[in-house]
Amino acid sequence: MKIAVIGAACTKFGELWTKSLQDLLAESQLKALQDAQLKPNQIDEIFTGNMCAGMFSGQMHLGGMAAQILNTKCPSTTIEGACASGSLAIRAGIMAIESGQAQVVMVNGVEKMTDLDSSIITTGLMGAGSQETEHFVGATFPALNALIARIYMSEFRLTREQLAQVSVKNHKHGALNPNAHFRREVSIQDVINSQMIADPLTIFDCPPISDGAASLILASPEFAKKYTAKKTIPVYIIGSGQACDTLNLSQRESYTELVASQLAAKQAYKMANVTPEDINIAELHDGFSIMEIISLEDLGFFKKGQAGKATELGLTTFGSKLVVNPSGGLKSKGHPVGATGVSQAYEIVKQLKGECDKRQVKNAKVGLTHNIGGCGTTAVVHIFAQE
Amino acid sequence: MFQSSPIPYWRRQKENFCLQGCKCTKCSKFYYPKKYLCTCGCEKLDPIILNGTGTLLSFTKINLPPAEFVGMAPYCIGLIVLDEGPKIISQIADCDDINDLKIGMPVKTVFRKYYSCGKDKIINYGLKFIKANSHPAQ
Repeated sequence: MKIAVIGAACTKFGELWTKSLQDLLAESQLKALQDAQLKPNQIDEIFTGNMCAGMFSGQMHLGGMAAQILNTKCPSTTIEGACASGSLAIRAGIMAIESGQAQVVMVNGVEKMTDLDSSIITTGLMGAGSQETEHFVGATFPALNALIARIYMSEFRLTREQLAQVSVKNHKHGALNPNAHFRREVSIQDVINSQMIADPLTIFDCPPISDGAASLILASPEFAKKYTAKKTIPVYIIGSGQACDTLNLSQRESYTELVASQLAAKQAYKMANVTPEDINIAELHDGFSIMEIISLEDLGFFKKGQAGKATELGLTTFGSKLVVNPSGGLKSKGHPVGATGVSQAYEIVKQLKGECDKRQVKNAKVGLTHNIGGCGTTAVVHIFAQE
Repeated sequence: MFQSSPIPYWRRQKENFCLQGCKCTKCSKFYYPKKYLCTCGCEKLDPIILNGTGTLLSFTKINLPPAEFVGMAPYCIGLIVLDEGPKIISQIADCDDINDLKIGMPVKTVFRKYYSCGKDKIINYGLKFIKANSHPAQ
């Protein structure tokens, strides 16, 4: 498989008081068109990833909103899969092109979260799990991750300091990203001593509540070759995988791995004909520090139980063979839920083009994005390469 | 924003009040909550009341609660494996100090209030878990 990314854009992430859901979506859509040097009428189809606009802004039907912004009448659809909505929209775009239905597709991800109180946001995000069982007993999303963290820490002797190092590393990266929500470094002690959210996870183990949007323009290789010959060099998506596990965390077999991530990664590696050793940069779903540790193992970068030590030794930061979350990840860049998957792809595309300034990873050739919805209920993996 | 109708809770009263799960008529595997299709492929699962005793697999204490639970925080949440096999996520009641909880600790159900909903403030009750060797507070 080979799908060209001929345009990419991302808004700043953060508490953007002056910007509405529609403002954010329009900003990233128009920037992406500009990046691709295309006109709206050249877009054959639009997919927009979003989780909570219906709840947080009372606005559903974002497909219609995205088409209206571009004054287009092409097919336009909203895609929802909790925190993985953005990556699912990318997959929908890939399939539209692969099927021959479309030559050029716009993919968006957007979320407007900061208009509401955090307890209402917490309630909304619990929709990613089981309403009837987990929500009923007040098991928040951080709580479900805390249950996983405690089991992993006890089974693999992951120390609190090693877990905190994930956030320390991602804040270090995010400090170099002008679009990041939090652009400051934190220490291990800052993480451990910060406000306890769901024991043992503190606020610095959790992603922030952010506003933001990101967009990509995908195209068939034929279109890309014809159209972008004199313009920018496209980056290609060469592998795509998606899998599901139970909605209820209680119904899992194991709590120290996410089977959906493993299956999605296996599909994507096979399709792209690469191995974990070939990956130079990865945007992993560090929605909670423990998820980066578990995902590093699920994606085959480190052996089971080794990711904490590897993080402590600096094997996931600048200068190592694999750089994980050069953007700052969900933790520091921010986590506007529906936008996250598309913004991960934006980061990898920009890195592969060598346009990342201070956070540029040298000699990056093959990149990976990994996006989770719920506590591993949905997992999506994409692999990107320069050619 | 959240469920303002008591009807969904009325519909789930046996699952919430009596820990009603189900058992596969073919392979005898137990489930909680109800399951529509057994992993063995059988579609016939009979409702059955589970014992309500089990073992704590993991736990946490929530300081930042969702809107409905604001008055209740902080409270403890546990992942429990029931003696019949299914796992359940529930609140751990009568626990002020999270250090009292240990992985592997035996636990049992107790009937408690969850939260009230809607303009009529109808109270939702359900099961929580306590240490197996303790007597529930009155």
